[in-house]
Amino acid sequence: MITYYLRSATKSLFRNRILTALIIVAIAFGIGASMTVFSVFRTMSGDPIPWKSAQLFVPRIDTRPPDKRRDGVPDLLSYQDVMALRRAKIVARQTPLYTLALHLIPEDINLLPLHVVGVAVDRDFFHLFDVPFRYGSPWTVESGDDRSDVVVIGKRLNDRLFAGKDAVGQSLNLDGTHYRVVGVIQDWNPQPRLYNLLNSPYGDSEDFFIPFNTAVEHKIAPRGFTSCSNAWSERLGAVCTWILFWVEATTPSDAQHYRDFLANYSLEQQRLGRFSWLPSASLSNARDWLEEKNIVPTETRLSLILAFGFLTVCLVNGVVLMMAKFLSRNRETAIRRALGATRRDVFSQFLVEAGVIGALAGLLGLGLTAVGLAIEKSMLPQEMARVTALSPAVIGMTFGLAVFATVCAGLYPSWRGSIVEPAVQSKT
Amino acid sequence: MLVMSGLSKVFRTEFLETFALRDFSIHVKEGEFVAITGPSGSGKTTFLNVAGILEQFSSGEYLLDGVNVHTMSDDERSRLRNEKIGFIFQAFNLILDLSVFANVELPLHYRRISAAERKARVTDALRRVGLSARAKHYPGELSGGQQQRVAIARALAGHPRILLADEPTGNLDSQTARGVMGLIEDLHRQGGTIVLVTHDPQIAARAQRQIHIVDGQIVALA
Repeated sequence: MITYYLRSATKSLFRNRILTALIIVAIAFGIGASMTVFSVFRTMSGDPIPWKSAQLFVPRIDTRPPDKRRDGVPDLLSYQDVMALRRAKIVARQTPLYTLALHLIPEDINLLPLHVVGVAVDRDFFHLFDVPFRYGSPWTVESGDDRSDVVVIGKRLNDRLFAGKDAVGQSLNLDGTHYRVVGVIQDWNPQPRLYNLLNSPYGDSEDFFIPFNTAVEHKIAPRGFTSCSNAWSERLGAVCTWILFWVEATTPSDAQHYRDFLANYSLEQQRLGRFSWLPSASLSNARDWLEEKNIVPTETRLSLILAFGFLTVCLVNGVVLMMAKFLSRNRETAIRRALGATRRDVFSQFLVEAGVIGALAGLLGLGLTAVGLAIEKSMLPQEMARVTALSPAVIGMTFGLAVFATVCAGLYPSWRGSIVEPAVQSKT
Repeated sequence: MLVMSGLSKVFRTEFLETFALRDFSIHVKEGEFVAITGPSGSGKTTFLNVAGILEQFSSGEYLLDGVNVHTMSDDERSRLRNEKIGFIFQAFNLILDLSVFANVELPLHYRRISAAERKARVTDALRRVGLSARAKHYPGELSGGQQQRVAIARALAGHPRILLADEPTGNLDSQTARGVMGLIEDLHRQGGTIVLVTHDPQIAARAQRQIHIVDGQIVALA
């Protein structure tokens, strides 16, 4: 029967072409506007690893005196606290993380050094964030512990330096230190960059990854915001905070266990006389942390509300136009009813027609979304514009939303169209 | 086949009750050809709408092929209409943007009949009314008489137990009307049960039995 409804619906599109076109255009504009803004919003606020983010946590210890605790909880920890957390090893996987910027010195002295950005992490980082490897693997536990000069490089750097070939075993000169490449990651660039939100939530992934211990050994200063002066000795103390810490708690009880540990750790620090007050320790889930960081500007949220408000207005117009279209066929409906169509048959036929209209509105809406995104990208910061795209997911959502919204909008007109009595009164 | 006993159809307003049918009783047997006659406003079309289960009635009893229709739900009435009744309307009531074939096929869709059987039934029905060659045409491309024959084919395709015809020649010239009436008479000769509503005494005279109604009541039987 659905085939018959679809055939009838397609035929009906051409029956009142202007009205049909008006409905399609009205809904397509609403879809186009809302999906354009939604695409940007999704890029900004999406969970880059939804299958795992519920298990990832950021431990934070607010060591400020209670009367100075404003502007939320600081995200960065001091070196002393990080080392204490690492040593405790309450969970199976954990990693400190800080951003560093170095110069890659080419072997050819005629070439200029290359500015490269990376992170210092423990090997667990690659497991925590499911980083896919193209060649090699993360460094070994021993290499990390021994402060070995090893490096994992990103695909972009590998393409640039080694033409995309297996670079494992090759050497890189970073600020005068020769690092041995142990791994090359695939094209991995989660957006937003959950693992390193504080430095730059959007943009390219890192050029390289080196062991945290190695970075500290070479006294490589963090890039970006820290609470430290330039003195390296101060960085290794308990006051200046510059390191983000990630842990993986696979079960709620693991997370609770870690929370208890953090609370005890804070208490212990107070008892040891490090503070006269009790530091506030917390463990934030990655999703909550992402939400808390509020990386989506208020204007974007507002735009999203307005865009979906516009879609609602367009759909209301669609309802009215569909009502006119369906009710103009009362005579045909009465004939169908007289010949044995139930109200449900007529309702279904109109609803399928609404779905076909929605599909066409979806196609037009997709085109409008593409145009809207192109305009939006020209106005966005470069790093945001690069990652904002009409992804297959957005294409599917646009089409699905168009059909779903139009079918919903078609419910009332379809019902009104179906309650026509079967008595065909006209004799002319 | 069609039994109405003491049936009434009343249109009520706050101040007025109008009887479209009053204490109406009729028994049409299987294979009969009955003409319902009467002046304009006498209740002929109301009778046909009630008989065709297109309208509800106010009181009384109506059995169609042994089925009491008064207590049926709207869906059940639609199904019964689809399975038991073939309609021939004065204004043909074809859907203009469906081909002749699709128009004849229309009621069969609602019976969930397979595509192969639908095709066989439509082909046979169009052959019976002599319009096989016009299957791909649209109603607008046909004469009035041809359109009425399409409507008859549509009624026949469902293999109905009874044919209800409402002024089937009312929109046709006399020569075409004769052709259509000839077709209806052929259907009756083949065993069809036909109830025809008309105000034309000549048309009514071609039926086996005539029932004359005035003000919603039967006033004469012939």
